[in-house]
Amino acid sequence: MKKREQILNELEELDSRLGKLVSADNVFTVPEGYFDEFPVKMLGKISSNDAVGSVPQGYFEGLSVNIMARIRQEEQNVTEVAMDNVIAEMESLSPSIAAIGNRNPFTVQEGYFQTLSEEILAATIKTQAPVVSMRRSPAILRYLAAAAFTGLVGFSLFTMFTNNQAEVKGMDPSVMAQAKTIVANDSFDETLASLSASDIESYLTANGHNPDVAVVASAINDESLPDPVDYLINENTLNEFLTDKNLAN
Amino acid sequence: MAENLDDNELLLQFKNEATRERAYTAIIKKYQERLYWHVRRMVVGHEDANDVLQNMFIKVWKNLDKFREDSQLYTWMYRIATNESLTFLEKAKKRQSISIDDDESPIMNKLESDTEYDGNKVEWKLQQAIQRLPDKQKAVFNLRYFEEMPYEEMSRVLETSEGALKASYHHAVKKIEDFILNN
Repeated sequence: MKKREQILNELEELDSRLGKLVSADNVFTVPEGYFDEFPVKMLGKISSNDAVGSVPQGYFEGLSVNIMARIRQEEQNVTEVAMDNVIAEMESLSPSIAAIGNRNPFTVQEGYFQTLSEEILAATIKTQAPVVSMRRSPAILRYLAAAAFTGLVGFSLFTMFTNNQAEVKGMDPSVMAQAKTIVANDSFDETLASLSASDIESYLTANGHNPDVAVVASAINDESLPDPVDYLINENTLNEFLTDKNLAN
Repeated sequence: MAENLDDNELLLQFKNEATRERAYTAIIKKYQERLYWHVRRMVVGHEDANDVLQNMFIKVWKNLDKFREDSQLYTWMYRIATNESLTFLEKAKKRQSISIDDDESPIMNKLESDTEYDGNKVEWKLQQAIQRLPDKQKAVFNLRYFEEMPYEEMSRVLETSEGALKASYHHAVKKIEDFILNN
């Protein structure tokens, strides 16, 4: 106390006004009982610091589960944030549109999506029906030539001989002349080989035949066709069949 | 369930002749709903949406072998679906020779003939406004607002820069807002 009085006197000597203003009382206060509890609290702090390095019982057993739960939660938050961004963006651009929301007003009949994949698959397979190339090779045209010429000349000759006549009514005279020459010279093979592809095609077209159909039809019969189901399952079925018959390409 | 497989696995199965159809069925099942709704919002009518969706999946089947795996299957399919929808709308406009801005346009007729249509409800009012947008802007708005697609992904689907898409979206919003506030 004596020391404090000396300090106050010293202050008054330095500045008489300041010495009178300074109170001897402490203006600060502490909560009631603070100092009583302080040692206990300090001990508690020290013991908890000592516990650094230890973990609660069972901590590691549940750690992986907890981490995965946190990751999932954060992923969900990211998704929510992404959704919020669209809405938040719209709120800033146009609160009136944002208020409407982005609910879909359209509907579909019940069960539509249950059968949709089958419908699409069926439509897909239908469009995948094999496309057969009908480019004509010399081999096919030779076959066609044989079919056309054999039929034509054969019919002429058959009619001539069975009716014992020199001409067949309605038959093109040039064909008749050609038929007679072939018979006289025994030159069927040579005549056949001399026909051009375009001659044969023109002949068939002029007589109302589709050359493509004629080629295929002259080479196959119903019994040799593959099962229709095979076309659907394997797009190569028809190509393979025509290749067998020497009709592909 | 095959449709739960990731896209890379499905693509691998598609390349194998023995598992091709099964993988393709799984791809359809996985994406059909999302793509349907995207197409439906574009073309409005269910039958048209069904046709466009089937054409789109046929194109996917024909071109999946050539699909470059540096982009996502989902993004690639969205691109095809969007292009098919835009082509459909273009053809429909040429066929009808009627402007899309016209109230009597086929798309507006389709909207108003929807069994659920109620012109007094704001969500249908919003659809009326959307259908008045130019087709590509409509795709931008739908992908962003209804599909909640990030601009980065939209950029890959629509093959347009992100900046251009943001500008287009903002313009679309202003047009829609004008329509809603004035009708």
